[in-house]
Amino acid sequence: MTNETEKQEPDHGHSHGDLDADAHALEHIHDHDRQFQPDLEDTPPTRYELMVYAIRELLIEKGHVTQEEITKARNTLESWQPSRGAEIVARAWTDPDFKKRLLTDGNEAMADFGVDAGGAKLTVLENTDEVQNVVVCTLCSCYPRAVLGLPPDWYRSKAYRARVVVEPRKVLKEFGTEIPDEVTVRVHDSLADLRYLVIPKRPAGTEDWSQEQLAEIVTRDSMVGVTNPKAL
Amino acid sequence: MGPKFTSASEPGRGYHDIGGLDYGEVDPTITEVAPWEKLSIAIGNSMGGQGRKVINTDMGRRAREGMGEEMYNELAYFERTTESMKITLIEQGLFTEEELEERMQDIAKRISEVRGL
Repeated sequence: MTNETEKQEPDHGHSHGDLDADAHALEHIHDHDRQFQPDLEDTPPTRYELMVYAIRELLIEKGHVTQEEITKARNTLESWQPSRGAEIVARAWTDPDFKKRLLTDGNEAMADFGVDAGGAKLTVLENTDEVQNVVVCTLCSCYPRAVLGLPPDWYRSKAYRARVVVEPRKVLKEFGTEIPDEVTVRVHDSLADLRYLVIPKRPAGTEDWSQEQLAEIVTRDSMVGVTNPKAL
Repeated sequence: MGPKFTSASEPGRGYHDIGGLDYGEVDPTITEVAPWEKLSIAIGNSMGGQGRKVINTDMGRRAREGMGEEMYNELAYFERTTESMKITLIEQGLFTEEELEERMQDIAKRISEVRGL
C-alpha cells in the first residue's frame, strides 16, 4: 500500500524541486524516509518525527550504525507482509505433514518460507469446529511481524488489549464474527519472546482449490483469529 | 473515548497492564504507517536483536513501563515507541539528551529553511 502511494506522482502543488532541496538540506534523510505526507508538507515536523531524524544522524555520525544497516532494516520491514502468513496457512491446509511440523515447532516449519522471528518463539494455533483461537498482546503490541507485517491499529489499541481477554465474543462481534455458543473461544496473550499465528478453519467449498487460490482468502485478521475466511 | 485508566489506583498493576479493564468499542480504522514511523522501527531493529544487539525488546518495554502514566497515555503509539527507544539509547551511552535536543533543533531549522516555513 505504501509503495503504491509512493509511486504516485506528487500532485499537491509542489514540484520535485522542493523535495530535492529538502533532500539536500537533510542529507542523511534518505529518500525512502522522506516521503512527506502531501497534507503535512506545509506544516513543521512533529517533535517525534524530528527525534527520529536526530537519532539517526547521531547514531551514524558516532559510528554506532550505518545508513546501509538502517536501509536494510527498512527493506526487511517492507518484506514483512500478511501474504507470507497466508501462504503458510494455505500450505498447512493442503499438506498435513507440514501442518504437523507447524504445530510442533512454528519456527522450524516457517523457516521453509524464509521466516526469521528474530529469536521469538512462534507458536501456531489451529482453529477447529470446537475451538476459535484469538491472539492479543495486553501489555503492548507483540505480534508475529515476520509473517503478518506490522500490527494493525486495532491490535495496538487500548480497547482491544483491554477487552478481548474478558469479552472476546463481544469484541469479535464488532469485527462481524459470530462464534456459536458451543464453540470454545480461547484467547492467547503474547509476550516479547512468544508470538502466535492462527491457522483458521478452511472454509467448505474449497476442497479442489489450489494453494494459491486458498492463500488469497486467508486474511491478516483471520490469522489473528478475529475473523474467519470465507470461500469467495 | 474510553474511561481514563484506573491502573494507578490498583496496587500491583502497572499502567500498561490493561488486560481486563473497561474500555469502549474497538475502532477498526486502519491508518497508513508514516515514513518517519517506519524509520523509527528500522532504526530500532538495526540497533536491536536483528542488528547490532545494543538494545532489545525488554529494554524498550521497561522504558515504556517506566516513563510514567501521564506520558504513556498521552503519546501516540509510535511516539511512545520512539520515546522508549530514545531512553534506552541514552542509557546505553550512545548519545546524551542534550545532544539529541540540540540536533532536533538543528534539523527543525534546516527543514524550515528549505520549506520556507
